[in-house]
Amino acid sequence: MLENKIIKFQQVTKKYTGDITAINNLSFDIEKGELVFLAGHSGAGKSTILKLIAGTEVASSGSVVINNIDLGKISQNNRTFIRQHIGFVFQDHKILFDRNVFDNVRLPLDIIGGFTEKEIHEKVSNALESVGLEHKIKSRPEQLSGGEQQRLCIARAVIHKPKILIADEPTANLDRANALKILELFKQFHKSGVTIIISAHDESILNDYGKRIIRLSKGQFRG
Amino acid sequence: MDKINNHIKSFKQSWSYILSQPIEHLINILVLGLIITICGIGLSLNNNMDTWKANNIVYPQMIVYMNTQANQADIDATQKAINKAGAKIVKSSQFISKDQALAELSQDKNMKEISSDVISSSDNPLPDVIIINTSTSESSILNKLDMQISQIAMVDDVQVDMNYAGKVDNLILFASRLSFAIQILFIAVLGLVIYNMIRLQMMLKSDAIQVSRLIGASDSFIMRPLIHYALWQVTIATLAAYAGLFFISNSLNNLFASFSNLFGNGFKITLLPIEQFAMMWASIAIFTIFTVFLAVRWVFNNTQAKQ
Ligand SMILES: Nc1ncnc2c1ncn2[C@@H]1O[C@H](COP(=O)(O)OP(=O)(O)OP(=O)(O)O)[C@@H](O)[C@H]1O
Ligand SMILES: [Mg+2]
Repeated sequence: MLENKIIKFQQVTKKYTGDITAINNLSFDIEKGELVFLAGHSGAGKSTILKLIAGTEVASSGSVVINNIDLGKISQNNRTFIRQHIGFVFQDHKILFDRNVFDNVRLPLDIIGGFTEKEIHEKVSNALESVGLEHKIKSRPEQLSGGEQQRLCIARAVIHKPKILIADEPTANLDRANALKILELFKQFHKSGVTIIISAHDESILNDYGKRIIRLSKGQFRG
Repeated sequence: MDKINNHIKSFKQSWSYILSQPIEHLINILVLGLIITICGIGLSLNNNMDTWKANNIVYPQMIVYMNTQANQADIDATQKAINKAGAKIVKSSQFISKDQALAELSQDKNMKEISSDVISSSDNPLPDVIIINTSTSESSILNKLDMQISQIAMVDDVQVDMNYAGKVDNLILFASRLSFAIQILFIAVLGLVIYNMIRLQMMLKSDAIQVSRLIGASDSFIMRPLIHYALWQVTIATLAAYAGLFFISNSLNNLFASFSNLFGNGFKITLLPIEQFAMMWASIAIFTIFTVFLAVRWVFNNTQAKQ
């Protein structure tokens, strides 16, 4: 069932400048519609794996195949273009503080293009509603709490209904109650058939979900 | 259709941005306008040099002094000899009779005092004069004409400044080279100013650019607003420069007009014709787009935003 594997890592090694091996000879697959957790301590290589999937980093050796496209064999422009089909919740949020919540969330639609203002309004409202932030649509990002900022990032990542949703430590700075709420949100998106990869350094929170957990340590599988 | 919509959006964005920070952008526009004005002055200088050349400033004048005893027949003979030389050598000639010269002299208040005894004398001592506007700066030809006319009876003297032509020609050549060099220099400066403008914008918006890039923004998505931003400022600056050139040439022409007996009437600045101005704008616009393109690429290659 080759066509069911939406993400394939084949003997992937990623070395950063300065001879840092972040990922060492990793192979794994993720199936279409799967929800996978990526667990590991700080520096284990979680973000690196997610960046390789998004194509913002390129494997030093081995191949990363997304939807049957080998990211190492296409141009940088095409890798950028493929990202339009991926939703990314960044570890450091990457909220734009020069604009309000609405303008933050609409960004992927502007990049993809071809939407009318009316469609954009509708989609932004829906996305914010799905994360419970519709009442903050006109707020400035600095007026949001940490959990609300995290939800803003999720709204921005899902607004264009990507096939793959990547979330880099979306629960990191949240208390347990809020972290669970966020994970609940991802479960909702998962029900609509999106392939989701979530990284976390705190494994305890993940165990209840009964989903696959890829455990990493120093760039390699563990346990 | 999408492309047009994108451009309309970038157009609106850049204008509202420029208008939302008018002071900051006024400075940009003034600097750009100044540079474009200087380029425009260079261009009009080149244009005008051609006109001045055509207006006979380059070719020397020959002044033929008749003997005071010369009669109409002598003058006719001289005139005939001049006309025989042909249009390639003689562009035009002008006869100034001694009476005319005296009348003009007596009208000049300053001259009146100096020449009081001349004027008071009943016998007009001034000679008849023929001024020849030549149409060549070839000294051998002019010398030959000089000889021919000098040999005519009742021609006292023929004066021609041989070096004049060469001097003016060199001056004009030098001036046009200088204005060309200045234009090249200032186009380079224009490029640097635009580059710096874009670099600053990209630094101000580096977060937005980086995030857009991570979400999948193409080069053109990032470049388009910057191109509009630079293009419309350059366009305002070009219009301002045209207004400036209009003002400068008008005031200079007024100045020249009041000194017309010094410079002659050939000295007049014509403004860049509107087609040439439109061409200048178009070239600057293309140059701007190209510069923005290079600037964005440069910033991409030297920052994180390249992904
Ligand atoms: N751009 C980079 N240049 C050099 N080294 C890097 C770079 N990014 C990451 N690394 C190194 O690669 C290793 C893996 O980093 P990575 O960000 O993937 O870890 P992580 O599992 O996401 O950690 P955390 O839980 O702290 O986010 C680390 O040792 C890190 O220092
Ligand atoms: Mg990380």
